[in-house]
Amino acid sequence: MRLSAQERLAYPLLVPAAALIGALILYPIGATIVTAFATTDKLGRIVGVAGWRNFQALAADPAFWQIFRRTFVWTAIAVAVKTTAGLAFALLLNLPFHGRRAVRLLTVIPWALPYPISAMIWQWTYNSQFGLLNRFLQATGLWPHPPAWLASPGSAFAANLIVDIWIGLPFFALVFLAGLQAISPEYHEAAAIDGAGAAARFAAVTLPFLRPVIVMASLLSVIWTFNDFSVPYIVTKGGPINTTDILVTHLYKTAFQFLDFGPASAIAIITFLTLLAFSLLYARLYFREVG
Amino acid sequence: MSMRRRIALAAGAALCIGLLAVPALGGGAVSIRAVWMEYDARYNTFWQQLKKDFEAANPGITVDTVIVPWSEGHDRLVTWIAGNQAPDLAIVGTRWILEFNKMGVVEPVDTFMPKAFTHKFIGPALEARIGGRLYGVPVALSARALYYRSDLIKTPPRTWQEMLAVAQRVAKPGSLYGIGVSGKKFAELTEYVYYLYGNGGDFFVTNPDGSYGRCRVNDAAGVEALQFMTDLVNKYKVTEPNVAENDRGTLQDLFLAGKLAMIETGPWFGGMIQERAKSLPFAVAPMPHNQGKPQHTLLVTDSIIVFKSAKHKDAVAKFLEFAYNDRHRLEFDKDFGMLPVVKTVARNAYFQTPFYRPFIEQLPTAKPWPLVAEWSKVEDVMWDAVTSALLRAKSPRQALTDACREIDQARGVK
Amino acid sequence: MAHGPATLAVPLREAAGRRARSRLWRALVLHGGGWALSAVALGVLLFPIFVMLSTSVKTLNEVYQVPPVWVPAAVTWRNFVDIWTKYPLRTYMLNSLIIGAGTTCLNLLAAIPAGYAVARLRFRGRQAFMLLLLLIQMFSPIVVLIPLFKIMAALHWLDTYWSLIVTNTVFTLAFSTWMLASYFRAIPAEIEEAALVDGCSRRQAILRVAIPLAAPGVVTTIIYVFITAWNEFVFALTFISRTEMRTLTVGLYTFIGRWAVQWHYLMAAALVGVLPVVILFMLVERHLVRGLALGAVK
Repeated sequence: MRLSAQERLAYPLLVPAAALIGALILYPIGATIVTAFATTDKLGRIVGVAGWRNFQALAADPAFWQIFRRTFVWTAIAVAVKTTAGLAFALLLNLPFHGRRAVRLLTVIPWALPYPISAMIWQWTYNSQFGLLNRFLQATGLWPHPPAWLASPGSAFAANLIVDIWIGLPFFALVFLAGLQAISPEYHEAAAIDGAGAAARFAAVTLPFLRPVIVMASLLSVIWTFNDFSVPYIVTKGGPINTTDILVTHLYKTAFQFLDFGPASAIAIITFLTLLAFSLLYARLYFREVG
Repeated sequence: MSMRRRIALAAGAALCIGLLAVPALGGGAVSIRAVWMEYDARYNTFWQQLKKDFEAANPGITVDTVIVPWSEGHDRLVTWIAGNQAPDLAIVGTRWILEFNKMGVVEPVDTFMPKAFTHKFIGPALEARIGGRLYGVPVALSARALYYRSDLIKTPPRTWQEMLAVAQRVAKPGSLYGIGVSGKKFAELTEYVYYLYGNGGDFFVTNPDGSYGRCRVNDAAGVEALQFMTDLVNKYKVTEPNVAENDRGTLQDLFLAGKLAMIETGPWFGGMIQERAKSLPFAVAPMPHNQGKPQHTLLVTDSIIVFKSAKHKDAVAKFLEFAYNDRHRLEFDKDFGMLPVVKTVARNAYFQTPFYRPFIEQLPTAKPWPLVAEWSKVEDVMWDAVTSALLRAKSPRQALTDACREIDQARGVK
Repeated sequence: MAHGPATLAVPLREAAGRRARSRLWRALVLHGGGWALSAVALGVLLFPIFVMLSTSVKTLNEVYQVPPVWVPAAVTWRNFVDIWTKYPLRTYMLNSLIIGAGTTCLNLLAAIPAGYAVARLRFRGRQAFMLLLLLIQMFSPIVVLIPLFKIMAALHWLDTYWSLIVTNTVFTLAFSTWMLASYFRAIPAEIEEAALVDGCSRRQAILRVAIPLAAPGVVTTIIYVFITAWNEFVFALTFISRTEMRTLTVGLYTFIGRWAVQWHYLMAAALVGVLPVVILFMLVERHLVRGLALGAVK
C-alpha cells in the first residue's frame, strides 16, 4: 500500500492514541460482544451459547422499553437545557464587566466536585425533612408548597434532571466561552459597521463560528448523558419503583446485583448501537461543516 | 515556552513512571488478605487494631486489611471474584452465601477449623449452616425490636392494634410522627418483613425436604401485613410524610432529631442514640405482632467466609481463632452494637441490661431471611411491590401477586 | 462585508453626542446587568455550595436537625481541622493530584499529535479514527469494568497510579482529540505555511505556531482532563483498595457509614477537595482569552 506524503506524516502522529485505545479498549469491548450472545455463570464466565436469546428477552420485557424510551427523554431534555443555558451563560461570561474573572472562577466549582459527591449532596438537599432546598423555597416564598422531590416518580425524574444539568452546565459554558474567544473581533466589528444590532451579529457571526463547537460539545454530551450513571443511581437509585432508571443503571443492577452478565452485556450492546446510530448522523453534520 | 513545556512534560512523565512501582506488601513470609465491611466509618480502628495484635502475636504472618463500605460490598466482591482477585476471607451478608456458593468459590469453614471452634456459637447465630456444613463464621448477629419514646409512651405496645392506637395518640402532624415506615429501597427489606413475620407469614412455601418452593407473600397473611403498613401511611397517616424518600437510615435520623415516636430497628441504634442524642428518653420492646398471631422478629447475621482460592488456610485458621477469643468478640459487639454470637460472651454482664433484654429474649423465636440463591432479585422485586403499594400505584394484593409471579419465574419455580 | 466610508459619513457627526451618552448608559447596563444576571445565575448554580458551606460548620447533631437552619448556633470551624486529623485526607489528595497530573500529561502527549493529524492532514481512515474515539465513549465504564479489572490484575497494576492514569487517559481521549482538532482547524493554514516556508520543521511548526494559537483549546483540554481524572470514581473504586492509595473521590465516599453519614466532615472535605481544581483554573484562565493568541497571528 503506497502512502501519500501526508499519510506518512499522519500515521505516526496517531500511534500514541491508537496504542492506548487498542490496548485497553478493544479487549473489553470484544468480551462484551461475546458475552451478549452467551449464557454465563454467576461469575461472568461463559458456560454456553445463548444466541439471540438475551436480546429477545429484553425485547419482550415491557419494562425494558419503558427504560429505553425514558433514556431518550432524559438525554434530550438534559442536553437541550445544558446547551442553551450554557451558551447563554458563556455569552454572559464573555461580556467585559468587572469581576468577570471571579464569576468564571465560581462557575467551575460545580464541575470541580466529583459526580458521586454532588449527587449525594443533592440527594440530601432534596429531602423534605432534612434538606435545605424546600426550606429555602418556602421561606423565600418562591415556591410555598414544593414537592417532596424524591418521594414520587415525576418529581424524582425532574430532580435527577436538575442535578445532571447542574453538573454539566459549567462544561458547556466554558467550552462555548473558549469558542467565543476564538472568534476574531474583526468579524464583529465588520458586522457592527454594517449596522447589525447585537441579535443580528449573534446570528450572522457568532453562531456560524460556534457551530462546530456546539455540534461537538452537544454530541459528546448526548453520549455522556445517555450513560450518566452517578446521578440516577445515587440520587434515586433508579427509584421510586424504578421510575428513574435509565439504560445504564438498569445495566448495573442486572450485572452487579443480579449477576446476569449475559443480559447486561446485551443491554450494553443495545446502548452502544443506539449511540452509534445517533453519532453517525451527527458526525455527518460535523464533517459536512468542516470538510 | 516550548522548552519549559517540554521539561514540564518530561518531569511529569518521569514522575508517572517513577510511581509505576507496585507498592511492596509488608514484611511477613505469609500474607493473608481480608476484606471487612464498614459498619460505621468511625470503627475502622477495630480491624486495624486486630491486625496489629495478631501480627504481633504471630510474626511471619501479615494481614492485608481492606475495608469497604457495606453499600459497595457486594459489588466489590463480585468484581474481585470475577477478576480472579478474591481475598482470603471476607465479611458477607449471610444471605449472599448461597449466591457465592453457586460460583463455587466458598470453602466451608468446618473443613479446616476444629470442632471446638464451631461449638462456640449460640444456636440462632449459626445461620450459615447449610445442609449440615458450616459455610460462614457468624461475625455479627442482630435482631430487630421496637424503639419508642419512653417519655411519651408508658407501656410499649405488644400488638399492631395497640401500636396503631399509641401512634394515633402521640402523633402531632408536622412536629411528631407516630411511627416510621420507609419506602426507599435499602439494603434490607425493612419494614415489611417485620409485619410479614409478625402476621405468621413467610416468603416461601417450605417443601418437605426443607427447600423453598413457591412464593407465598400474596397469601392472606402477607397481604394483610402489607395492607396494615399502607394503612399506617395512607389511611391513618401516623407515619412521617413522603415515605418514598426515606430509608431506615433517614428514619433513624428522624428519631434522633425527635420527630418520630417509634421506630423498628436493630441493637446498634442504642449506641447511636448514646452518641448523638444522649438526652433522648427511649426504651426498647419486642417487635409487635398481629393480635392472635405468634410473635416473630427478624434475625440477621453477617458471616465471615473463606474463599477456596486462599493459599494459606492454616494462617487463616490461626487468624480466626485469634479474632474469636472472648476479648475481641466482646469488643466487637460493644463497638458495633451487635448481639453476642459466642456462648461465653453472651453470659457477660454487659448484655444482661434492660436494653439488651428485649433483643436477646426474641432470639429463640426469631426468623432469619430465607436463604435462597436468588435473594438479591427477590429482595429487589419485593421492594418494588412494597413501594408500589405505599405509593398507591397498586393495591397490596395486586402488588404482591405480581411480585410472586416475577419471583417464581426468576427462581424457575412452577 | 466591508463598506466604503460614504455610508459612514452622514450618521457619524450626529451620533457623536448621542454616542457619549449611550456609552455611559451602555457601561451601566453592561456592568450592572452583567453583575445582576451573574448573581442570579450563580445563585442557582452555587446553591448546593451554600448548602455545603452551611453544613461544613455544623456539628453532626445540627446537621440532622429538623427543620434545618442555614447558620448554626455555634459555627464549628474545627471540622476543617478534624478532617485532616481523623482521616488521611492529605494522602487522598496527593494521590488524586498525581493521577490528575499524570493523566493530563499522557493525554496531551497522545491528543496533540492525533488532533493535529486529523485537522491538517488528509489520510485514509481519518473519519473512521474520529469515530473510533467516540465509540469508546459509548461504552459506560461499568460495561468494561470487569474486563479492564482483569487486564489490570494481569499487569499487576492494581493499587498503582498507572492503572488509573492510563484508564483515565483513554476515556478522555475523545474529547481532547476532537477539541484540539477543532482548534487546529480554526487556525488559518497560511500561518503554518509561512512558518514552514521560513525554514521550520513540521515539528517546530506544531510546537511553536499551532499550539500557542490553539491555546484556548489546549487550556480547555487541560482543565477538562484534569477535572475528569480528579473526579473519577468507578475505576478508582475498583482498581484501588488499599487506603494509602485511595483517591480523594473514593476517600470522600468512605465518610458514609452504614448508619450515619458524617455530612459535616464530608462537605468540609469536599470543599477542600475543590481547591486544587480552582487553583489550576486560576492559573490557566487567562489563556482562555484570545489576546495571547492574537500576537502570534499578527
